Amino acid sequence: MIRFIFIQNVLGKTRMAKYYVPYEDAEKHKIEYEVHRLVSSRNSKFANTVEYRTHKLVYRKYAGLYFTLCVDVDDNELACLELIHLFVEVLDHYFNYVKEIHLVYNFHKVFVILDELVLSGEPQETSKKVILERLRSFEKLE
Amino acid sequence: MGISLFQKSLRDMISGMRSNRNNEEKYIQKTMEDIKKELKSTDMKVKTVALQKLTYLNMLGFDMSWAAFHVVEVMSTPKLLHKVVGYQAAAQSFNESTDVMLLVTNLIKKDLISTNPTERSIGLDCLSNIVTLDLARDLIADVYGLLSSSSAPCRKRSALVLYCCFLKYPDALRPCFKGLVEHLEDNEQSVVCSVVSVLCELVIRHPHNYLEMAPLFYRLLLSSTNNWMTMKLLKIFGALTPLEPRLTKKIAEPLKGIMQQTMAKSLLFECITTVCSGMTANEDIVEMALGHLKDFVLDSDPNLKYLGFKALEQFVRHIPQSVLRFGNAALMCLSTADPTIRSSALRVISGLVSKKDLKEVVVRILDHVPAADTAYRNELSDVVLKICRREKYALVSDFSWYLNVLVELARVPGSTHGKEIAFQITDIACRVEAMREDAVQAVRTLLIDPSVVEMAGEGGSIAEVLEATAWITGEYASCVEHPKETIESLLQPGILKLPCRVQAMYVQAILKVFVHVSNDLLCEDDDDNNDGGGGEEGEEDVEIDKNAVVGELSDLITAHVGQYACSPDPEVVERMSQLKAVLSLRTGDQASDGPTYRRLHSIISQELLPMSGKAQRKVPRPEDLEVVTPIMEEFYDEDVDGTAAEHEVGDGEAADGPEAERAAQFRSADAAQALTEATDEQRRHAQEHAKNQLKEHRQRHGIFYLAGEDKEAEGGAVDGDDGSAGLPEQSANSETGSADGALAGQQGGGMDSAYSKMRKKKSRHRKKSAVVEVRRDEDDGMAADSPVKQARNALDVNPLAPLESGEGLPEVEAYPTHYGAGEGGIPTYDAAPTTAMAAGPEADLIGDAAPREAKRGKEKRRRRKHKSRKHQQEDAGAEAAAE
Repeated sequence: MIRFIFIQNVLGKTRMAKYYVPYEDAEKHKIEYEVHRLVSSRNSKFANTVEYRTHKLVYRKYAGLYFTLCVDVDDNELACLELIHLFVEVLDHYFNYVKEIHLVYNFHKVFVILDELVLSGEPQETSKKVILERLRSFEKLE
Repeated sequence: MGISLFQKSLRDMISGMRSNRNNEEKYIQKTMEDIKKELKSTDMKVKTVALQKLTYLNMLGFDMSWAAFHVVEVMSTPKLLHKVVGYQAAAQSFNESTDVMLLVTNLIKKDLISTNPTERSIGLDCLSNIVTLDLARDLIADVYGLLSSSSAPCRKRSALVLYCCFLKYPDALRPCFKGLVEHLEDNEQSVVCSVVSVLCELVIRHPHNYLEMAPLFYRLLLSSTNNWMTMKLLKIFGALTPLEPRLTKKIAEPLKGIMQQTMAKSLLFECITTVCSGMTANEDIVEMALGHLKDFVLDSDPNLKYLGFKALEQFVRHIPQSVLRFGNAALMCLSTADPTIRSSALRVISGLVSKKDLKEVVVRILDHVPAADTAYRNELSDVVLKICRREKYALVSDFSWYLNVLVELARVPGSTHGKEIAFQITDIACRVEAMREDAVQAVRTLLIDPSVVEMAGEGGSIAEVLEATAWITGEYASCVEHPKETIESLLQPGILKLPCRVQAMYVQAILKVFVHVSNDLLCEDDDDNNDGGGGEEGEEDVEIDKNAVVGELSDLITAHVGQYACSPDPEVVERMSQLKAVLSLRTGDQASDGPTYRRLHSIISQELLPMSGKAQRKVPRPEDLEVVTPIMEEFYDEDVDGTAAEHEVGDGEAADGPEAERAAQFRSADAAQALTEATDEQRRHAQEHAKNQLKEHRQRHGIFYLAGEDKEAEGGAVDGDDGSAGLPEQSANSETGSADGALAGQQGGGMDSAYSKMRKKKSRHRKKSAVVEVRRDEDDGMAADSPVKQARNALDVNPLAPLESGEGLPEVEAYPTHYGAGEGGIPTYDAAPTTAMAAGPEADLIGDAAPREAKRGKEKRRRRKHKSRKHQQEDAGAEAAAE
């Protein structure tokens, strides 16, 4: 099960933080800080997995952004990496060549996209086509 | 989204923040004030935009708990676009302690029964984020209802949200389980996938309860075309196969097929994980998995490498011999830069190492130490220390070599393992007599090296090693080859930088070495067995110079020992003074010094020997040791039953052959008892003695007693006869009482009543036997199917378990009104919400009729399955295992 998903830039600014287990506000920011420090300290040639508290982080760097997933220790790292990649692909399609600035100004849309992808800590839809269709139907509301 | 003329939009605010980077805080403060004002606006648009801005700020770390009510306001707007903003804000900021949760319940309920699919899906999304026990209890019926919705995305979401609700409200699992499982046969693949995800989480938590579903999962595994689902199914089998080995044979073929065909590394890795979690007995598949693992380990992609080693770690635990071929690859990986891969490789290595290749492996591990950073160095040292110490040094065949390894490890800069190294060196020197000389030689290099003292002075953990070094040198002074050099090193400048404990040990070592050498030299004439060590440098001209050598040593010590006087620790100073006093005993005359040193030597030369932890067991029990007969029989005469019962217990313990082991466990208690027991005569004597003392005391200090107290004291003394019996009795009661209380607290009432009967019988028991009795009772109670055990079983009921075969689906009313408090987080069940649920339109589905029907359906299907697939045997086995 996924505990939380972060998008952070190299400087440690959180661009999106979604939690699937409840934490206090103070704890959340501590976690964000710790995760960034842990992830950004790792060389790009290292494995994209690192233990964190009693769980593990699976992260991947895209340009200046770290996409980090915190999952249970027995979860499949490669599947997590695929999920991250799927998320990025959907973002890329949706924003048409996504850049960090897109995420900054459209944080609410990023949440909606993520909700289509992951629900209650489990991937709910893994087809890019289906997700994009749903997002487009959502777009019509606006 | 329309924005009113004077309001900053989200975009404006973010741009503002970006352009005010230098005084961002001030800018945000101002924005916050604006937001507060805007939230109070009556215009919903303004309010919504304000809330969206606030949500953004909250994500950056600003508090928004104060706006909870505004969030609910926005959530309740009919306009979907506004609603979404409100729901997003709620999902992000609400938690268990938010006080507007009650308002949310109805809002979400309305969404869940809405006809608009978007409304339903945002309701479900939000619920999954903020679900609490209350919300789960009130809304589970609606979520469950959506499981049979006509829209596939809705079914998919509701299955996942149901899982969230189960987590908060486990009681809901049983009534919903049947309906959930039915959707494994849903037409829509994505729904099946999400149900499998939920089941996967459930199975991992309690695999036992789901064994009988294995055929269902098996069928899904065969038909699955979705890699994500296949991975979840494999995870499920990974949890089930350890419990039901026959499943291994069943899924071996499909697993092989998947491993051969798949292009996805993630799926391949999942297959490998499944193999190593429960299928290690099946050689074919293990071979295949290891073949793929080889590709992983040798791949240049660090992720695959890491995962390869991680899987190997699992294999090593079960079948180390098959993993041996990876030893070299693991050793090669120690030079990788990635710490996660290295740690994993180290764990594989430590699982693989054998007696034969220990030396080579350790040397290869140590090769990496010089180039490593501090953390990695410590990790490497740790692995070496742990490997070698494993099972009492089972792998180490050459201790002389290992001692040198230990010394080398002690020198590792920044090491934190000083304590462990010190322990191991001392341990080996103590236990292996043949190794003492080697130990002393090995530690000598540490002792004489000034840089080591420097390191220890800087706070390295090597100080602890030096302490052990000094102790070994002193304790086994007979093995010291160069006493002068050793003493010099113990007096080298800079020792005051060492921790005080080490200094004290140093001074003591000087004394021991000096006395030993002096004894050897001066008393040589008297005892011929000069044991090797005594002053090698003076060996040839010993006839001439014996006395001079001692004199020289003595002078050396006297000249330098003074520096210890500056130590801040009183013990060091005191030991130094002692040492000086011993030196001053020397007269310079061999005839008179000889006996002095011999006497001194006899004091310190007694060896400290290691003792086995089981040594006490080897002491035979004296035949006349009577430990089960009550010592004060006469007091229990009236209580024949109790005494008789106790005799039985005693006899049983003594006579029963198979019980011998248990008796041995009690023996220590018995021995203590025997020691504390006194004969009647002793007791009477003690009583009289006490009385006399009391009398004397009162005579002497009578003025301090008030009149009343005096009387009481008198009464106590007069009461002596009863008092002596009363005292142990009281303590016996209190002992039993507390034991009783503890038992009752732990295990419920059954034990309590059973035991209180015993207690009544033996209300006048003496203390020791009562304690022993309590233990025995507990043991017996657990062995038989006692009320205690039953009570425990009752608490063991797992609410997350699906129904077992033949068990009727309980009606909601049938649930216990509450479980024992504090048992594994099982929430207290409240009767009220049941009626709330029953009142809903789906009440029947969940509450009563449907589950029964569903259950009948389930049984029928199972029977059909049995016949058609001829899995009878497997199934019966699985069920037996489940039971």
